[in-house]
Amino acid sequence: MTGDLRCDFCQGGIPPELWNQPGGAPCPYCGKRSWTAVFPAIQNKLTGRGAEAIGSEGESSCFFHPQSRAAVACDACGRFICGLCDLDTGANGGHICPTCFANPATPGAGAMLDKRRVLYDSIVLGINLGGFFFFFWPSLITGPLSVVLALWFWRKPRSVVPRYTTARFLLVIVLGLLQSALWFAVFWSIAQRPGRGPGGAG
Amino acid sequence: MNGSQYVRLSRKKRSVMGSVQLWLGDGHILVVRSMRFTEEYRRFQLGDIQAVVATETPQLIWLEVGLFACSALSFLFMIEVEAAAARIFFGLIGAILAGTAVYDFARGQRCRCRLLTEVSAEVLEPVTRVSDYERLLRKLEPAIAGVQGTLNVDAGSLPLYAQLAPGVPLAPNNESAGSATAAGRLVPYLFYIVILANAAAYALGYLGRYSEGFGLALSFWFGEIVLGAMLVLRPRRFGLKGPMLGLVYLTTALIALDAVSTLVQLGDLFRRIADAGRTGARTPTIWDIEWMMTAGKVAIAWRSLAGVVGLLALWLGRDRVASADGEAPPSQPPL
Repeated sequence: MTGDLRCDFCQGGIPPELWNQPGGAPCPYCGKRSWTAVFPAIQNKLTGRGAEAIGSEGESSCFFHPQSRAAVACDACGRFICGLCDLDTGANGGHICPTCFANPATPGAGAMLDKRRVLYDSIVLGINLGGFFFFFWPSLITGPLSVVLALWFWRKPRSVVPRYTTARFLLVIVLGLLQSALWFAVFWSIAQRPGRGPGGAG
Repeated sequence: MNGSQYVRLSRKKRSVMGSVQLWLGDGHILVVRSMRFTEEYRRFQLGDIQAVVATETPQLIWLEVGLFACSALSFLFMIEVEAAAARIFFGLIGAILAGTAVYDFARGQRCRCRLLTEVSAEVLEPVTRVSDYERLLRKLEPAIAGVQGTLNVDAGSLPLYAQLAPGVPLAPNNESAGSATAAGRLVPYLFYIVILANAAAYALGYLGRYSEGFGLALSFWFGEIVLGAMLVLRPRRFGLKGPMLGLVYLTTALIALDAVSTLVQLGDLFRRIADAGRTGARTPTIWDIEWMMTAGKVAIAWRSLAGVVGLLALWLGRDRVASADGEAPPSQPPL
């Protein structure tokens, strides 16, 4: 099994008398010190939950397995599901059926089951600052573009962990507006200069 | 911040490509791997966690010593240069290097941490120090105890290897990454051969007065540094332990000192060439400068000695290393 308690250095097994020692304990083989916090799950056997057959007529059956007894109702769609179909979604007892699990639009399942999320705030901040610091002139385009993108992505799913997403979006909007104002001032001052045409100084 | 259910378990482990961080959520640990513009998540239910194991790893004293040496060199430059801006620059670099070394030392013992479940062994990358591990457990243990309860060791329910009699631990896995392969054992030989070759190249340059010798020495010098770093960072992979490992450490330290000496020599040589250019005197060479010739002879001597001693030690210790790696521990029950 992969869950062996082994010393990372020599791969020797760590015997039970060395488990949960407050200051750690040296490996019996290589002498390297290991700190081993062991929990009751070490005694668990790898077993899955099975479906129970319907005992008597009138019992509710699983939506996906009509011959199996229903164990819980899916939190998303409400269908009755058996132990085999029940997907546990957390310590608070969330249950979900395989169909809802596969559906990305399932309410409530997103944060618990997402494997990957795009950080739109980092993307728009990168566009804004990249355009500004990379020879400045691209900010003529990236400044207003980042404001539009920040507003566009505002309601997109954000990181599941705490992060200053709103603050980043606001920063991008402020910076983008400032850059746009700066470029407007540059063009305005150029337009105000005396022209070189027939009526100008040149 | 958004109203997230997650509590931070560890600091971010940053790298060029992104970062990794641990969070404690509702009934699970979340490993967040950030790649700047995306995040990937791995979840471990608290009820499935069997153990969190940390094993000490080499302390990398040489890194701290190297940082201090570079810091000292930077402060030396700060004293030597005259321009105020250059003084500030070297002073800042020196302070940053010294601060990094002190911070690294203060964080304490390095370790590698794994989170074990019945079907996986995840390396917790953000936990790189024992202090990080202890901080992690302070938050994690109450949460896991709330789900799993407390451990009551029943010998019959433990994994097979844990049911062995006390004091008869499971033997190290000889096929693991920790043991040296036959090809791996050749690397230390190559290291000392390159050192001897470099001694010959130095001799060609300093004593034979062929400038091509210095070009060759530069190539060998890079070889020495790369091989030395490999051996110091992963000694077990190359079958190094005990006195042989000490000899490799000593040789690598001498190479580092020699690198500093070479830089000082180059600096002095360039300064003399510039002076000669200003005054219209003849351009000096290394062979005209007495202290550089002495330093060169010292480099030839120690390299020759280290090369011969290293190769002899490797040759004499070869049988002992091979038998120690292949030996099975006594009273080892089959698993």
